[in-house]
Formats: sequence, structure tokens, C-alpha cells
Amino acid sequence: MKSYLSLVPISAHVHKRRNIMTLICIVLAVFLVTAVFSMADMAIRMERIRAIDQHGSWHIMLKNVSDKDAQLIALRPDTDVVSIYDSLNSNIKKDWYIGKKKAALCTMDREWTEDIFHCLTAGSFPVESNEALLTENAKDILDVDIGGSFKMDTPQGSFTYTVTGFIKESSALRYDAVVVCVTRSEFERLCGILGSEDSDPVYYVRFKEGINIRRAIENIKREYGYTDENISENTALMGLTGFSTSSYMIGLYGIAFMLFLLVLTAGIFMIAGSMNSDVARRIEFFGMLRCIGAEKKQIMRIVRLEALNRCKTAVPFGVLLGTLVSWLLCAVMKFGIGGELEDIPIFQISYVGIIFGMIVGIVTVLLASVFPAKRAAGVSPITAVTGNTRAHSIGKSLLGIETALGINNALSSKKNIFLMTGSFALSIILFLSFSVLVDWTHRALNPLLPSAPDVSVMSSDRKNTVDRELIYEIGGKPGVKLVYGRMFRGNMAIVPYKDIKEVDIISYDSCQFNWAEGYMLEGDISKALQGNYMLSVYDRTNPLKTGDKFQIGNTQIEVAGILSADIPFEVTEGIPLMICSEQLFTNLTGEKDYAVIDVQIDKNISHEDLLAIRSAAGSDRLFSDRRETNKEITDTYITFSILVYSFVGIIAMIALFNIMNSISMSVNAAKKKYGIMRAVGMSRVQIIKMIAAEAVTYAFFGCITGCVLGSMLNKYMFDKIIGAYFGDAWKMPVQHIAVSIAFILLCFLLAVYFPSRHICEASVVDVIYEE
Amino acid sequence: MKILDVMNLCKTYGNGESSVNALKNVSFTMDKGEFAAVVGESGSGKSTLLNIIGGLDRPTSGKVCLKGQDIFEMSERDRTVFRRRNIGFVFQSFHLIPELNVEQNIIFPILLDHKKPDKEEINEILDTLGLYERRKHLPSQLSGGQQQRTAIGRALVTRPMLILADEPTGNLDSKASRDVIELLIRASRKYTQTVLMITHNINLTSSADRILRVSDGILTDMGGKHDEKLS
Repeated sequence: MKSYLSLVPISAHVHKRRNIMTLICIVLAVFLVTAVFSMADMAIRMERIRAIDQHGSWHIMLKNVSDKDAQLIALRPDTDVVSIYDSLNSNIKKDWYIGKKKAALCTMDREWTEDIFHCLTAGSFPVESNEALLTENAKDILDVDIGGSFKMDTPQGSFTYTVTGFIKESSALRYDAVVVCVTRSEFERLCGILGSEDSDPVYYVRFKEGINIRRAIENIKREYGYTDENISENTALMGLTGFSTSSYMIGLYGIAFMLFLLVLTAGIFMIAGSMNSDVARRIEFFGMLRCIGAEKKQIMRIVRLEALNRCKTAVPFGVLLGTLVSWLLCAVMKFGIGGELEDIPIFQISYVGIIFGMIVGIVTVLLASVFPAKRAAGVSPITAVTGNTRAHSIGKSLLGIETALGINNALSSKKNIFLMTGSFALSIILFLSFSVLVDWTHRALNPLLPSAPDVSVMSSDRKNTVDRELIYEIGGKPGVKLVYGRMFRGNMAIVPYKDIKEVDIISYDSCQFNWAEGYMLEGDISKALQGNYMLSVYDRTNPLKTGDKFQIGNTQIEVAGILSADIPFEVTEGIPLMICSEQLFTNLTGEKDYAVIDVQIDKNISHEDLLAIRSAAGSDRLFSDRRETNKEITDTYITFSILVYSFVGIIAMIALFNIMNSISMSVNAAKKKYGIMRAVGMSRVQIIKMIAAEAVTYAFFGCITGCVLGSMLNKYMFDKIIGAYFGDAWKMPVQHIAVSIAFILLCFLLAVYFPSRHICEASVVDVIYEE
Repeated sequence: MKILDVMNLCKTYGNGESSVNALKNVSFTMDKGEFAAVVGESGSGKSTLLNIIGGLDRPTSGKVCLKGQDIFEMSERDRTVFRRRNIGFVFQSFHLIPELNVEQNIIFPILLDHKKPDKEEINEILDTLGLYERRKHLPSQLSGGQQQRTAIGRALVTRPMLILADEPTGNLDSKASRDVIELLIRASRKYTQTVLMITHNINLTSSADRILRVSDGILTDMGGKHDEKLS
């Protein structure tokens, strides 16, 4: 024994059982953080794989920059790949054809297909000027294969190429046309022949691993004098690597960080409560140490070291448990749920999870030990001599002396009531905060709105030129479930009203109005089905309210209600988006045909049936297959939902354990006293009443504090991530409050039952002298 | 040589009508190497007196000077360090650290002072207390007398000028009580330490140099004439 601190490991070795509750608390905190961060890490890895697959493995795209600049940027030590992409006729307005299908032309570097978009599905990158790649859809449409040749007809002449391979239609190649990819020299030659007015070269840049991408972007901007106009970010990938500047992503990170802090605080309260009870039980011991000359600082060091000493076992165990559970959950997601989640990696070590788990374990323990250490250091040495701790005189209670004693026990120490109240309150605060995320998940990530189309047929000029009869034609095709159309008129002038000069109008048929009913924030949707009524889509800049009247030409329009921004249309800032009936739209514009026809199809529709719909749409219209995008959003929705609900489940677990542990530790700390009370004649019922009174006092203050602070946080988060974007007004989360209080009460009953039973059933002597 | 000087010590608990005067103007002095016993009825104020002299409790008024230093003029931290180095405590219920063995319990105050224990000195104390053979035993493996002897060793180890013992034999049988008192006297004589001991057992006071009698918070007897030694 070399130092007074050697007492700590010796004591821990002797009193293994005394430490077990604190150990469990630390293990739980470390386990939760490791499991949650490991799961989040795996989900991010899965999303990253998908993001790269769907959006490409690039970080920024440079626009309006010179080729020389691009070459210099490629030489930077922080740059991994820089690749050009350029296209002609990307809006397929020009009459370029391969067979009967419209054609667009593009060029890129080999890295673009192989390193960035991984889109070369067959063959090889073209080398010669008469070689080209084709998008995969050409296989069916043109019936060509590698080695075969095709001819692209343009008004300026025909050009023949040999097919060297096929590329899949990545986001950059999503046209309703065949895309021909040629070498850069051939592209430049064609620009000279076909005209390069719509050439708009961009450079895709990927940075090296481990680089601070944000700083690299700022350096490039500064060195080359670029503005935000010159640089677009791959938000999907940047967001997943933590470098997004999107305000919404930053907002989400902020919320995630806040929730992390809440979980951390819950851990601190849980461990602090447990340690505090342990200190309370050893008041005389600390008093004796003070008697024989231990300074307050030394006592605090002893308590802190005791806590850290527990980390030696608890942290590795928590990390191990967290990793195993995350593996199990990943396996369940991969093999149990499958489908959308089959990309999730399993049996992978998450260093993020492990490091965070360890840091959180140690930091939590250090922070949690502050209160108990101060309490221990504050013990008067006279406590050891007299054996009496300070106590407050009890007040009167109508429910009897035992109730008064229970309440007095709870209120006797300010620190204790703070920790216990905090424990109860935090459970409610956590629950109310996370419930906002559940709401958000439903609103923000719902791809399967009843109205979500699988494919869309749009006019190429964005005007109402899609024949309305096409609805009936497509509706009759096999594999089609539902067809509905919308007319659109942008920037329609109105008689100035509330500073508005123009509105965008979309028509709904009865089917779409039915779907919209669920998204009404206020007003009466039935009015909008007929007559001169419109629905206004919520937007922060939209001043129109229900009942407002404005004029379009000679027609007076009344706002029948407000629709939530959940509906999937983009609103232009300052121009209200209005929804009206087809009849009113036609009356106002004189137009009857649609701008877009949406089609919902059977999940297992055959390729031939889909081609039939495609050919019905005609070659002069844009045909958009949205199934892949829908699937992408569904995947994200499911992943996020699982994460959010896992969090809620974990919080419930923390709350249950925390409350049970807190009450149990509190009862244990006063066990001797309860034993003595039984010895002097207190009945079992009275003992239970006393313990319950103490727990009720904590629960009472905890519920009030939790509901008040939790509701405030709930409102803050709701306004931040839901109100601001979807327009929904915050309402007191009565249901969630009721559920959390009910859950707390359940925990409370369990928490009182077990320690009371132990004290009542064990012999009085055992209770008094039990260590 | 005067070691301890207690001057007009008063201690009042509570306020107003419910106040209790535990000590009323207690004054006395003790010389180096003196062994004094404090006797009195239960609730007479003996323990309060001892606690205040040891700096565990604060007086309502009055002074306690040890080697000329008023211990209540010191900051709380300085008083703790002063107590650690100059006052040894022996409690009725031993208050040993159950996880530490005899030797570790004895050296603990030295470790608190960030010093390295002198092996020879510790062995000498263990020998004096008759605990050498038992030095690796835990308190739970010792008899009451052996536990109290360990507590005395702990009080002696920093060579304090004053040892305060609050009913050190209260939990011991008569033979163990005699042994403990003899040891306490022998050790204090050997190291010329001043001992102030509270006891109920009048038989044990025969070995004391002086008997202080406390009654209702007043020091009624200081061993014959003022400051006169009994032996």
C-alpha cells in the first residue's frame, strides 16, 4: 500500500457486491452509447454505399470553371479524382435520333464511369473516336450489343459508332432518351459540327479519405476565387460523412447532438444517483476518514477514483455488449427484414461506436461523481463520532407518521432530491423529445404517400399539353392500378392582395382531393371540390389564410383552407401555391389537358407491360420511372424509423432501469433505518407506505419538472424541424405526456415492489446488519 | 510544558427556548506527556468537550490552543492537516477500515499526509501493541481488544502531541479494557504524548495523572486544586 488511494482497489475487491449497481449503470450507459453509435455507424455505412451507388462517389461539382483550373485542382494533394462531364442536347429538344428514340450526347473521363459513378455495367470505356458507350435502355430500344454499331441522326448529318459497353442510368444520365457517351476528342469534334451552345462542362471532384472536406472546399474557393455558384455539393454523400452545409442537415445534426446530450445526461443522472446512494450508505466511513485527517480534496479523490475504478470493468464490458447487440440488430435487419436493408453490413467493428462508448463511459462517470464526491467530502467528521447524520424534523401528515417519514426521507437532502427528480424528469424529457423525431420521420420521410406515383408522363415543355384522354388509355393497360393528372399554371397574375401579385396553380381531381384531406391544416376541403374556392399550400412566406378573398381576372377566389407542406410539390418563395378543382382551373385558364399524368402500377408489373405504358406516353413526352427513387426514400424511411424507434425503446429501458435503480438504491441506503423501524413495531404495510411515499415524492416532482421542460423542448424541436418546414402548429403533446406518465407510474410500482418485499420478508436482524 | 490550553469554552445547541448549553465556560490546560481522564454522567458534555478539542466540532465561544495555536483561527483545510499531524483519535467503536489489514489501517494517516511509512517505526508500534503477529489480519478477524489496539496504533503513528480517546474501552470486556488502557499509557509515556480520555469506568481512571469531572456542561473538578496533578 503506497498511497491512501490504494484503499480504492482494495475496497473494490472486497466489496464486489456493493459496487454492482453502479457497475450495471456504467455498463448500461456505455452499452447504450456503443450500441446506438455502432448502429448509426452501420446505417450510415449502408446509406453511404447506397448514396455512392445512386448519386456517385464525388464530393463537389465545379461549374463554370476552366479546364486549366480543373487540371490544377486534380494535382492538389487533398484531391483524389477530378473528372469532366459534358453533354449536348440534354433537354432533348433537338431532333437527334437513334432509330426512333431521341438521343443526347455526353462525354466524360474513364474515372467518371469507373471510380465516381461505377456505372459501366458491361464492356469497356471507348478509346477511339468511332467508339461509344450507350445507356442500358438502348439494349431494349435499339436491340444493339457490344461490338455492334449504331447511327445517330442529326439535322447536321449522321454519325456511326461501335458500341464498346453499356452504362446504367445514374442520376446524371436520367433522360427519357438514349444517351451516347463518346471520347472527349470526339465530343469536341461534334461540338464543332452540331453546335456547342448547350455545352456546359462540369467537373466532379472527390477528395481523399480523411481530408477535412469543408476546409478543402474553402481553400479551393479562396485560391481560385470561386463562389457558391461555382460549387455544388453531393449533399447525400457529404451529409453522411458529416460535411454537409445544407441548413437542414446541420439542423438534423444539431438535433442529433442535442439528443445525444440528453442520453448522456440521463447516464450521468443514473450513475450519479447510484453513487450518491452508495455515499449515503457510507457517511460514517467518510466521517471517520475526516476524523483521522483526510482533507475534503482527498475524500473527493477517493470517490472519483472509486468511480473510475469501476470503469475498468464496466467500460470494456459495455463496449463488448454494445458491439454484440449492434451485430445482432444488424443481422436481424439484414436477414429478418431484408429487402431494403440487405445492404447493411454485419460483424463489422464500429470504431466510432467503441470510441464514443468509452469516452461517454469515462466522461459520464467523472461528471456523475462530482455530486457524490462533494457530498462525501462535505460529511462532518463528527458524524463518525456520534453516528448521527443530520436530519430534518418531519412535518405533519394526514396520511400518518410513516407517510411523513417517507416524504421527509425524500426531501432531507437537496442534492438527493435534485438527482432523483432529475432522473424521473429526464426520462420524460427524453421521451417527449424523441417523440418529435417519430413525428418528423412520418412527415419528412414518407415516400409512400397514397399519391406517390410509380411512373409519370410529363409534357416536355412543362405546359398543359398532355392529352387528358391519355389517362383513359393508360388506365386500360395491364398492370396499371391508378392514373391521375394535374394541370399546372405558374406565375398566374392576380389582383394584388397582401403583397401577392401572382400565384402558382395546380388542379386536383377528386382522387387527389381525397388524399389531400389528411393534410389539411385548417379549413374545409369540400368547398374546394367545386365553386371558386382554392386550397393554399403552407409556406412561411405565404400570407394567405382561410377565408381570404382575392381576384384572378374577374373571378373572385376564396381560400377554403390551408394544406400542409407535406404534399410533394415545391413551393417558390413569395409565390403562393394554390390547389383548385379541374373545373375552376379550366374556367381560369381555358386549358383542359394535363401537365403531368401520374401512374401507380403493380409491384410485379412485367417489363413488356411497362414498355406498353411507355410507348402509350409517346416519344415527344417525358417518361419518368420513379420506382428507384421511391425505393431509395423507402429505404431511408425504414432505416431511420428503426433507429428512432430503437432510440425510443432504449429510452424506455433507461427510464425503467433508472427509476427502479434509483428507488432501490435509495431504499438500500436507508435499509438499516427501515430495519430498526420494523424492530420498533412498524408494520409491513407501514413500511411499504413509507417507501412509496418517498418514491411518490420523487415521481411527483420528477413528473412536473419532466412535463414542463419536456414540453418546452418538444415545442422547440417541433418548431425547428416540423413547424418550420411543414407548417403544422405545435400542440401540447398530451398523448405523449400521458403515455410517459403512465410508463413512469408502471416503473414506479415495480421500483417500490421489489425493495419493499425484500425489507418486509427478510428478518429484522438481517435487514439491520446486512452489508 | 503546556501543550493544550482550553479557554472559556462554551457550546450551545439550538436557539431560543429550546437551546441547550452543553459546555459552560470550560477552561483547563494540559502538559506534555500528561494522561487525563474525563468523567461525568451521560449527557454531561464530555463528548462535546472532546470533539471540540479535536476540532471536529466548533465551540459557540472560547478558544482551544494546541502548542499555542488556536485551532479555530485556522482555515478548515489547515485545521484538517493540523489534526492529522497533531491529534490522534481513538473511538469507542474502533472505526477501522474493514477492507484494510492491521498494518494498512495503522499506516493510513501517514499515507494521507503523502509520506512514506518508516517500516521500522511501524514494526515498533506493532510490537508495542502486541499486534506484530496479527499485522496481516483484517479487522473482522480480530477480537475487540485487538481492534482497539489497532485503532490506538493508528492514533500513535503520526506521533501526535495529543491523543483523544472517547470511551476506548466501552465495547470491551474488563480484561481487554485493562490491556487497552495499559497500552495507551505505555505508548503515550514512550512517545511522551498527552492523552485525554473519556471513560465511564471509574476503575480505569486510577492510572490517570488527573481526573476531570464534567457535570451539566461545567468542569467541576480538575483533579484536586486548580491544575494540580493527581499523581
